Amino acid sequence: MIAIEDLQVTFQAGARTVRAVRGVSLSVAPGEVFGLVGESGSGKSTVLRALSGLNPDWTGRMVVAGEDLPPGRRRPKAFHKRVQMVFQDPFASLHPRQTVDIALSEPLRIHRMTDDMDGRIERVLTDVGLDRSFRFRYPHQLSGGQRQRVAIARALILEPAILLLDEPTSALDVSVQAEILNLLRRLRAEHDLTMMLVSHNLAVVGHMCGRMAVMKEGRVVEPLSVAQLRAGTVADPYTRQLLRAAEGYDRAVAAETLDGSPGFGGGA
Amino acid sequence: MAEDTNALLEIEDLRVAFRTPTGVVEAVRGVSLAVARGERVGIVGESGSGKSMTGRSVLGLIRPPGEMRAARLSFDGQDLRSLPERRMRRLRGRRLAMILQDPTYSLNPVMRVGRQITEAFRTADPSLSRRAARDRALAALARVRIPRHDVARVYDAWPHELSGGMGQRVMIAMMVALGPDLLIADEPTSALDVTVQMQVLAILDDLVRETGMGLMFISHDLNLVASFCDRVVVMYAGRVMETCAAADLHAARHPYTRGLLAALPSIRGSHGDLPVLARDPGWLEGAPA
Repeated sequence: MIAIEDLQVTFQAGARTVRAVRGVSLSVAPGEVFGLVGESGSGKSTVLRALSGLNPDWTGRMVVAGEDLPPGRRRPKAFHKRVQMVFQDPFASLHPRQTVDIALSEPLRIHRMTDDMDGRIERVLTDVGLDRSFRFRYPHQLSGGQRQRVAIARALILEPAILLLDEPTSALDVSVQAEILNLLRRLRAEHDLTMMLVSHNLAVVGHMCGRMAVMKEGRVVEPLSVAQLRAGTVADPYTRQLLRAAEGYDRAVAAETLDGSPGFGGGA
Repeated sequence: MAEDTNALLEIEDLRVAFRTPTGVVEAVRGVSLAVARGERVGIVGESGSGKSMTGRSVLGLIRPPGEMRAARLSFDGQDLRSLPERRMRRLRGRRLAMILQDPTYSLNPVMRVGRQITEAFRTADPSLSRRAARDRALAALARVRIPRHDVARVYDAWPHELSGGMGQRVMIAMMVALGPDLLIADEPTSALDVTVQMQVLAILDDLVRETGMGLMFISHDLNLVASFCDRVVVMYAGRVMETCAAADLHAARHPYTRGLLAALPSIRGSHGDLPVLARDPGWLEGAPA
């Protein structure tokens, strides 16, 4: 469903050129949930953003549903109907002065899916577990979890085949995270979706995905199956470090990481 | 616990309320807890549980329209409720310190790092010379395990030149060099990558062990608190649901704590649906388990 070969993404930061993604290759089968794990600055979100067309400066090859993506930012309209994205922060991704109804009807208008708009909106709200009373509410009248449900509904309303999820639960409390993860799993099964999930949280990726790639400094350090992750049979020392850190604080492990740690950089 | 005479900090029946045009919002509703010297007390809860407001209350940082009341709020034997603002200000920074989640907002962006640290030192001790303040600042940076070859660079850097982990170390260096007896850390590592998070925790761990500082560690991360703290206070809707030894958190008894733990995805857990927390209205009012 998705094939990426030797993807390179660069940013211009003043006079400096930042190579955010340095030769990433991966493939995702139809119906699969594929995870990208890594820390901030690893390039995991940039891979997703290049795929969705948000980062125009890329080279390499990206194929979605058998079609080669043209270089640059421009994507045919049909692409956006097929591939939708959900972002981390539901507080930032919904327009504060637009009701849920407007947020959901706009993509339908853009893609001329204006037949039975009422029905489509009500069905998609039910799909994400919101009753019809939410339709005319504003984002500030919703909790964080409800907003993320609306953001997922907005992506789903175009009936995409692929959902790109960028840290979809990182801004949510654990009890709400569980609800959203359950929702995503149900939607994947019911709508036969292919998903790419970006997260810094190894447990979230391990729970949701069958396969994943661990990224660091723009490269894939290790492709992993969920079986390898569960068994702890990981080869790369960096993956092992992430795995141990995910298990909580351990004085001995922490002491190891203190020596020779980088002081500057990062952030981006 | 609140009767413990060795306690550095004692809080009894703390209440914080905010008057808003649409009514009174009660953020903290009768919290009692204590922190001993050299003890790491974790306060966990979801957003809106009142955990941050509890921390801010100790420092006297609840501002109108917020109102704070407590049956007891004492720090090293001093009653913080009746302390005049001038004396409270002297305590803050010197004996009571706080670090927040994101160092980007705690450091002044238009002042070099070294100058911010020396200024804090010289405010606390006006007799300190510039040179002595500089020496102390460099020593403080070295103490938070900034590699020796980086210390001078960090000292001369602008805040935007630091990574998140380094910025948080600078904040800790600044707070801790003043030698506080109690540090309130509100989600100090939530904005950091896991590997950097471990480093910052190791630094806090060292400080508690070496100086006997008391630590109130506020976090939403149950696993982290269970592995890092000595004791854990679980909060929900402004109240304490349960207090237990950190090592026993995974055997917690309160249904809220158990529900939170169950809702966490785990690497080795099943791939089925996660149990969703069912909130019992009784938790809002009932006696703590």
